[in-house]
Amino acid sequence: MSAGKTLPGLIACSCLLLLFALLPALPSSAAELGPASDLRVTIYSQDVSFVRETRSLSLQAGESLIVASDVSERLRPDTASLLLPADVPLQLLEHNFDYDLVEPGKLLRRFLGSPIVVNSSGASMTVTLLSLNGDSLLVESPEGISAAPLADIALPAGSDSGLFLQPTLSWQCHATQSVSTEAELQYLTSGLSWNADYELQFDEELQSATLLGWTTIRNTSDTDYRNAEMMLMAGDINLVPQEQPGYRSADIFLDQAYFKYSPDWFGYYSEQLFEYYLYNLRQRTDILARQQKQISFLSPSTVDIRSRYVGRLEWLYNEFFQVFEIDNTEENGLGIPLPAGNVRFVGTTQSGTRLPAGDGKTKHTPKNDTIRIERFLGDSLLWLSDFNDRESLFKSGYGLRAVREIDVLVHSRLDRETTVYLSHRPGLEWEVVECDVQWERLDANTCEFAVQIPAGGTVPLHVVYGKSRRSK
Amino acid sequence: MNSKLMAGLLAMSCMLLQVQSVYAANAGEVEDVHLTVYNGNLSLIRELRSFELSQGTQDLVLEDVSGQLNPSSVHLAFPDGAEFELLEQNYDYDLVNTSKLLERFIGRELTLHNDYDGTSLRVTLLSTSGGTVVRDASGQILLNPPGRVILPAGSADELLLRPTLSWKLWSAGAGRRLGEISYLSGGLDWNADYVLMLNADDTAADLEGWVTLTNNSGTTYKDAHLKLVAGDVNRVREQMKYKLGMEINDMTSSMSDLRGGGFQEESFFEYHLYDLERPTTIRNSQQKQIGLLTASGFPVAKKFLFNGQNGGDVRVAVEFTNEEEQGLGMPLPAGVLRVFKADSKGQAQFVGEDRIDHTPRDEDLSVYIGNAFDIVGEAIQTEYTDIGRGYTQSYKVVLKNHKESEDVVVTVRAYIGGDWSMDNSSLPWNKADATTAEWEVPVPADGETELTYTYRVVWR
Repeated sequence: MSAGKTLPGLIACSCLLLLFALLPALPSSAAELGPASDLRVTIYSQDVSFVRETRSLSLQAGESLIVASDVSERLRPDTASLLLPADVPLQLLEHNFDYDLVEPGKLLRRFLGSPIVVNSSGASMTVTLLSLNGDSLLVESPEGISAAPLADIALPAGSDSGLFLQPTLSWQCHATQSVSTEAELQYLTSGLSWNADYELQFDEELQSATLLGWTTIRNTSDTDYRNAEMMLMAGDINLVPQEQPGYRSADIFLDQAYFKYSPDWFGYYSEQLFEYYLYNLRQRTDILARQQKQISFLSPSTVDIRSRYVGRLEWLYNEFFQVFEIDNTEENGLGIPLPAGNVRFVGTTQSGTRLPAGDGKTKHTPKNDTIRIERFLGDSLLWLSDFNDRESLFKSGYGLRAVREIDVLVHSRLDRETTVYLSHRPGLEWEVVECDVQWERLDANTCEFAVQIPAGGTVPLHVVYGKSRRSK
Repeated sequence: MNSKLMAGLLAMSCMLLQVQSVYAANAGEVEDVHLTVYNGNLSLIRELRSFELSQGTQDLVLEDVSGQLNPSSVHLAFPDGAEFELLEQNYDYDLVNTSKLLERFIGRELTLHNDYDGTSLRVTLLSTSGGTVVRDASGQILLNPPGRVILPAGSADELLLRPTLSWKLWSAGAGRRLGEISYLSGGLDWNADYVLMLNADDTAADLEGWVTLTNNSGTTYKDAHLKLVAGDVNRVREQMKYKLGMEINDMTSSMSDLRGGGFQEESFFEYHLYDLERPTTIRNSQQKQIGLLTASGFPVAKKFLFNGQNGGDVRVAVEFTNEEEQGLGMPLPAGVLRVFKADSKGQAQFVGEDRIDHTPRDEDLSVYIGNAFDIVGEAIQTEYTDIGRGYTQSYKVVLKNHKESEDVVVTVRAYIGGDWSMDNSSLPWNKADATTAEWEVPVPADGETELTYTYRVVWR
């Protein structure tokens, strides 16, 4: 055996060993979780959803690493858990979420002080990397030290070892025997949200109104949920503000393809859970990435409604609302819990034309309660002018008394006679002394005046306040 | 294999070994790592390294320390009584970068290489701030000349590639010595995560708790012994410098290598220490969860809360006591508690979460989960009377329970400051604390209950 043959051989071995030294120590066995099946998704209105997936798992006895690498990128890793059937001889020791992803800068930083291959102007050079500053590198070659752009660099095979291509969930576990079972992976994720959308169709005479409701489900993430059992939770759950490690915010572009389902076989049945309501969709459905989906949950129901025009008596404030009240009872064609949502008003003119007539919001309304929706009118149909609010002192038999007089003109552009309810908050020490219309005290600091106005007319309102004699 | 390939491999392996640094690197070998992680992104890292020391003065150099280390907290000791003297401790962060290198060449010659036509130009660098100013061989001054700047090879030799910790020490003898390096660092943080599973009628629950450790420090810690400290970080930080001396000398705390899996909890001055009984590897950019505790079948109470002055939503809280008799009793570190409940198909559903504070034994917890859908409340201020040196206020609260068959009790609270007393109340009330009046208002299923009350506030 000559030295000339064994020495190169030894060097070759040590070179290979050095290259392998760059790889991290791998666990005894790594088991990849099977693809997700039997997806169950519960969506909340606060941009959070609870996902449960069935995943197959098989591994040998001893220490293993269970890996799930195809998980939603918006998943909250501190909420992920892997549930196993009780009789499986497997003990979960630790659960990890790795987000040390492959990135050019990160890979290059491992080569500080080491050679890399840079291709520029068609030629490739081996240089030593000295520093990395954003997009430019400082490299040293036999000809000297110069800057090179971060473009077209080749690194040796295996340089990406220990880094991940995507965020990865893994569990370290110990099995007393080999295992082949179905596990359930559960986690909370963001990117899926829902809210209710209603449409209130009413005619000008307000003789009848029709209420329709949809659930609008928005998937703003890049993950598809296919053939999922979908449930919506109606109610306000409390959520803690989250800081997510490794979360990269994505641009949110909603593909504006939304559609409404109304057939009878498709729909929800609801149940009460804790202090909320759970809507279960009867059929499995797909919720694709960047998709908005609308599914009816309240078919067109004819309801009796009450409405009144309200406004505020206040300096420079000229906004009126039309307040609708709808009893959420079975007698009124409803009687189901109605989650909070946006309401679109649609008015029907005398000739039968349907026109959009504004937006409003509604709150969670339980069964047998009353839905209250405000329709913003601004000063288009009703408005105030010549508002005067002056205080004066006058002598009376009891001495000097403070008096405050409010004068205002109320105008109407409506084509029928109406009563407008104007509320005023004078301050806790004032009390109505004189008023030429019917009025009511709503609370300690609010009075409401009912002003009747003929169609297209103007009516003055005069109110006198005196200092409250409620003292002592 | 041919000799050219061998030469190439040899050169390559030599370059791989030659991870550049100024010093003849003597970093020792890591024997053991102890991590103590506090809440609030602070950790104490203790590494045991064996160094091959020579007699006399020498340098010890560490290049792969945590990127977020606090340099004024670094401490090197040789606990097994080696006779040595620490002459200097340095933290060097004068890293190589383009502007720093160029500044050294002001007044010196460098080469401008035009990549398009392959020509080179020797120039003298006059300035680099605000643009490049050079003087060429003929004396002409050029501003921002085109071309790639090339500095002579070796010009970067005195600069470093990575932040480096180094010590100059004098050793009485030669041989292998075990040294301990400790320092404070950011980038490692932990908190607790809990899952509370409610039973069907919200009267009992099971609890599981985990520790969630997040490593954003830039370094991976292999087979580290992990201790977590739960407590107010500000207080602990003041004690830190004093305790550092104590902890370093506590070298004999080698833990038995049990496959216990879980944590051992102990009190430690005014905070709690959770000790993981087996070594674990914490990778960079990783979040790790390890089981902390389980408790099952302990009693909980569901409470409805309403503000009797401002109104708003009727809130739902789950309350329980951290008592040993009830199956708990372990100090609970702060974290997020998530509540789940099974639906009619037996599937667990998420019903809300809240943050809990560090909760010692025997303390009560109230976790606000969400708002009740079926219970609606309204509060109106009905009266205000000025009584000279004070005032009275009257309120009316109407609570409606739209559940079909469940009667509920809503806890209504009014917050009143100053010297107050209740003039009248339509339902019995109690003074929960100096500023809170509380009523337990029963509301029958599909019914409503009204509460009216008047209180008086005086000032002398």
